[in-house]
Amino acid sequence: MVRETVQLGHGFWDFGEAVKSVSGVDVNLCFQCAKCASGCPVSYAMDYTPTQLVHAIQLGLTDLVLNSKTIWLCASCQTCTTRCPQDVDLAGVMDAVRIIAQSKNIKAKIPEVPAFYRNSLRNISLFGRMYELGLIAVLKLSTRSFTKDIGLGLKMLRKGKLNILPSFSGALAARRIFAQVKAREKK
Amino acid sequence: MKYAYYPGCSLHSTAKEYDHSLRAVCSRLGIELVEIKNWFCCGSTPAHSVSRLLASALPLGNLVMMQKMGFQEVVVPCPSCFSRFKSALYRVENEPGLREEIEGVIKCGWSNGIRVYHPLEVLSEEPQLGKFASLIKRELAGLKVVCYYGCLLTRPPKVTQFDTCEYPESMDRVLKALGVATLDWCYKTDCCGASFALTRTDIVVNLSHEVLQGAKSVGADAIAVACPLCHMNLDTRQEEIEKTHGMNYELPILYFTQLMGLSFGLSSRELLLGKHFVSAERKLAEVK
Repeated sequence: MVRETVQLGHGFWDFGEAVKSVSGVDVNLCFQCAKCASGCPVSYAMDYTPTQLVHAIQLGLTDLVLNSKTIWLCASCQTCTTRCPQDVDLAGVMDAVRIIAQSKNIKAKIPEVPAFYRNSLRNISLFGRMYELGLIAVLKLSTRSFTKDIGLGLKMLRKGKLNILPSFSGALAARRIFAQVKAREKK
Repeated sequence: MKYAYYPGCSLHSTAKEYDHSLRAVCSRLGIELVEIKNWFCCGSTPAHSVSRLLASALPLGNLVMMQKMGFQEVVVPCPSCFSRFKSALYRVENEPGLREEIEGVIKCGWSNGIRVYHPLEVLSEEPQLGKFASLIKRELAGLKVVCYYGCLLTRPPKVTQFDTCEYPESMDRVLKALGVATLDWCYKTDCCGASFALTRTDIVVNLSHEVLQGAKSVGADAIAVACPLCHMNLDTRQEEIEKTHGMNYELPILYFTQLMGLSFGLSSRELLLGKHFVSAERKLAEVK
């Protein structure tokens, strides 16, 4: 029998604990049955399946997890969370690792996804309600993909599916909440 | 019957037809929907991917405004908003200290007993279901439809408490009561690609293709939906799906409320059917 020593990542317990402190989920309950990976609609596009990602968190492989495509490709469809026999809220774990990656300013493997989060939230904090046309324009500028979906966007405009002007209803209340959350999270 | 109403951003923009048709059928059924004054976005996927606190504070901020208007029950037609509202309420009940933290953020407290409903929960039960027969003006019996519920209405079940999670039937119940034939199929709660519509459209094209293929393979004439994002992905991406996968589905995607409206005798114009990319008019003419 071949025995080999596996080098565990720096801070063996820390990462699982960090995930738990953000999401309240204990990843050590996972016994690797792979039901999450089997039901995941996006696993085909991921570099690690959700099951592998949880294993990596258990082993404290922080760099692998935070630099994976997987965390940005989770669609938050909640299939894994629903089906887990150990009641591990895996979609909650994905939220937690995304939050950790963004707080550490890690360069995302799929940068357009966190750019979408950032710009959406900026949009909501400014207008109160999502101003789709503004969001699309900002995303196009930030990703420099001007021609992609241009036909689709024009057709949506023609059909009146995108409002030309933003609404400011609710903007004030939303802005107060954003400011309060920001102040508390800085502490 | 009277409920507070939280339309959410999509129903004021990309899914105006869902808003119009829902209001129209509710008024026929004598259900009054009172829009929450100055409501703001629930935060959706971006909020829960960036801040757990923000993700719960935004929905609860809206619910507090609802209570100030004297309501305890709210109807939320967008499953993404519905899921955020339900999740916020679930978390403040189950995470010690969170309620106080959120009350600090929104500078206001709230009383217990808030109920969040998706329109399907109201419309698929008595007394509403029993009222349908007397309101039907148009026969839709020739139409074969599959009901697509998407991800967030049913999942996770302990949070949303909606129907049965792997094979829901409430939309089927509503449409069957109108005489529409709803078919069994395997994709009721599969994912369409959701918010990747603005980032990784390749994922939307792949996943939505599977849903359309599933609907076609059981012989559906149309897909009935209850979610603005599912609608957008399934309806507006068919041309791209044809280019990528070589399949021309031409499957009309209708909000279940539009089918209800048609059955109650409302015109295509009133139900804003013209907003869809894939026209439903031809299919509907066939069943006249």
